[in-house]
Amino acid sequence: MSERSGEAKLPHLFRRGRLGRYATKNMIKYGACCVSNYNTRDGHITPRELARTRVIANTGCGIITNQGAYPDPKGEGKSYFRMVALYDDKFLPQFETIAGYIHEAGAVAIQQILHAGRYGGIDLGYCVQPSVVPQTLPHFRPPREMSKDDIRRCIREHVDAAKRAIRAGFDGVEVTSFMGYLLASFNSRFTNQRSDEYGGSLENRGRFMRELIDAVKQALPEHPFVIRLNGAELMDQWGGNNEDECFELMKQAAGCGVDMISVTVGWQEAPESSIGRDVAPGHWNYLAARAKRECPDTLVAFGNRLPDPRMADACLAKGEFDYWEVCRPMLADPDLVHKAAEDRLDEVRRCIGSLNCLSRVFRDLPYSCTMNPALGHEVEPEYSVTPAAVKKKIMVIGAGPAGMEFAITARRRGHEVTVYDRADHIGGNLLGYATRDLARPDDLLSVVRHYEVMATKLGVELKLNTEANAKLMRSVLHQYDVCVVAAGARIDLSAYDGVPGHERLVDALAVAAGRVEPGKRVVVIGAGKIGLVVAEYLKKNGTEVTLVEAEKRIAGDVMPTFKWRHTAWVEELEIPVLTSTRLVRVTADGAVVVDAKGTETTLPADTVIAAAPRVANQALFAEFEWMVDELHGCGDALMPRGMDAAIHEGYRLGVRI
Amino acid sequence: MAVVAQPVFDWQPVLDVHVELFEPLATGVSVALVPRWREDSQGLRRANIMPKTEPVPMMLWLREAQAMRVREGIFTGLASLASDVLLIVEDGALDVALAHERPLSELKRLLRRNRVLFMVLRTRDELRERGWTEFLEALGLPFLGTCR
Repeated sequence: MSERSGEAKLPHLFRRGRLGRYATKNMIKYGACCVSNYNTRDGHITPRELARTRVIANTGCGIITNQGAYPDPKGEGKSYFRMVALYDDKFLPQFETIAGYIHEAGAVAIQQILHAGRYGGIDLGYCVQPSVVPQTLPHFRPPREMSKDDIRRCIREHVDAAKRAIRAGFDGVEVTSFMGYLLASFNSRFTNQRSDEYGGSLENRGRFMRELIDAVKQALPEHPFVIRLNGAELMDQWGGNNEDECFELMKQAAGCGVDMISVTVGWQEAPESSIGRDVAPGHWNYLAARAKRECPDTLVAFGNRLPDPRMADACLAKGEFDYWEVCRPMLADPDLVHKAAEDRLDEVRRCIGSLNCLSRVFRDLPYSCTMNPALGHEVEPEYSVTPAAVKKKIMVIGAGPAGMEFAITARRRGHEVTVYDRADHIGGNLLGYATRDLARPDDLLSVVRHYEVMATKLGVELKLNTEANAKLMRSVLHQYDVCVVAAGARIDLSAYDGVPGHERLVDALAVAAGRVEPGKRVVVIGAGKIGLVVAEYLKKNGTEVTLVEAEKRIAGDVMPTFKWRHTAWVEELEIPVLTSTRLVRVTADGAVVVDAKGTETTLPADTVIAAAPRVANQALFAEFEWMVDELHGCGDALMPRGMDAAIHEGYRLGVRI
Repeated sequence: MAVVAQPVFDWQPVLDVHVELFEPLATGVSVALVPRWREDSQGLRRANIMPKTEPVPMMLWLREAQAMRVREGIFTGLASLASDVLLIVEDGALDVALAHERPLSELKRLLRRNRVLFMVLRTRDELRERGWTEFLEALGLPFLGTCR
């Protein structure tokens, strides 16, 4: 296996390119996909961010875009809690460091300038917009209209920030005119209702953008200028630009001499998915292809929901765009490009589109990644995989995400690891859950495949079809130094012991795993993620389903940015939902439930499925306590949560044991 | 153009059924339901999501001392609107909702299908302080950013 073998298989991705006067070593651009929130509240870059950007610089991309910095001292452009600033020279030293990292790695360094406009003013009581159009998301600030003086000042601030970035050593700058940010809100009919020369016609609406491009180009004629623009806003239903108008705006930008157009999809407040895992990879490629057709003399970068280098290479071969712009997949696996170059794509940890990153950013938290537990902790040696000082023999109970993550991490450190699982496969409960997922089973199943590949490559021993219990432990007594209980969680059927007819209940996890075939009319008790996935899958496949939830709302344990997706599926599939309702009796005819007002209802069913509550499989902790030197636990075996906690805890235990 | 074909007061029983959603609201706050389009004096269709418009009849759900009440109002543009929450409604959408067995559930679906647009005229903190959390969550409206 040589480094060249992977590059030869993806020749279009790994050919050399050029951005302005700068040669690029390949056709991959690291996109400034979202703000990390790792920095200080006043816009200074922290050591945590520097350590992270060093990783980004070394991803192997030909162009690296550093995350967006707001350009104005007031903070009207500031959209995220710990966003970096570039309105003053006092911020320069750390930008110099980042530009240095990028150049050391042989990449072209681009600094993004992000004025968030409608989504800005996070520390202020208002945001600035072309017109006073109220927010559709309460998260954002009430609007104020920008005057022409404001526009002129804003252009000067962008120019100053751009010049500062170049002084810091960056090769070029990128300006955001997408996703509802400032320039996008001027471009859009939805938010621009002005009657002056900055509003009205498409020509007028694009004037601010063109003036800004002109000003920056005049100030920095030798340096590449990249603009991010929407190929689709997904806001046209409410008066936003349709795709034709989006492409007219792209032509305006191209006409101003931008060196590259980065094509993106959707506004933050758009009501439909653009990057979630319910959108099929490749779905938006047509937008990039159209951009290339409409602006043939301008470089086009694209990567929305295009996580696979093989797909990107094929698009490049067809001339659909020039640079594969990728970010989120490299949050999940910073070595993605290197693995592609070395023909090790089977080892890639795929971005599964859980949107954990964005769920956290919108809660003013630093972003993290379900698939990459080290993300954001690069500055902490404790999160590094280092050779173990003492090599140990370790047994792991449970081959779900927590157990497997622990196993491969510990193995990479040199420990000898054996994983036991009573099932005939790895993946634990995730396998059944993933198989029934309506969004995109392949994404979740890729997690299981990754562990299979890595276990084989690293030499983790798997003992499947093996129940872990005291008898097993006695049979291997003194053979292991460490036991890690990662036995996951189960549906707590004992919670229904007081419910007449409880013995008729069926376990949702057994249904998800295919061990139990429900009837054609079912009631699912519990509308958390397991209950929802099972209910949605059954309904989609012709079963009549009713969901019963004790809480006031469904999807209580679902990732915040994905809750709406389940709610929408439940509506689209027309699954009746009874909230604030609990099970009181199970009979041969169905489930009897009672609502908050005490009204009993009989729900006819041939199967009643319990999908809640969940309980941790902790019994082994007590059983093994005096049988092994070190006894640890991780994941749902400690407390039922989900894949994110399972993977992160497995990793954290693996790097320190 | 009226926001609904039926008398707006047909909505009062709907609000009465969902009293728990409106109980936390501060007295005096309101939801404005405004038709998306109006016809101007020349018979041309004009959008109402504007700082100032010609007067347009709107429906208000106003939290009075005892309960949420349906009231009629006049919308003259966003700049003069005193409501906390604005629902901009496509022609006929509210009639569809009212004809449904569970009108608020249908309203939620209409929001999802883009036939009703939700807007806020207060900050997130103000909305929470004034007691809107239950109502907004019931309609499936995210308090935070989405980026889907």
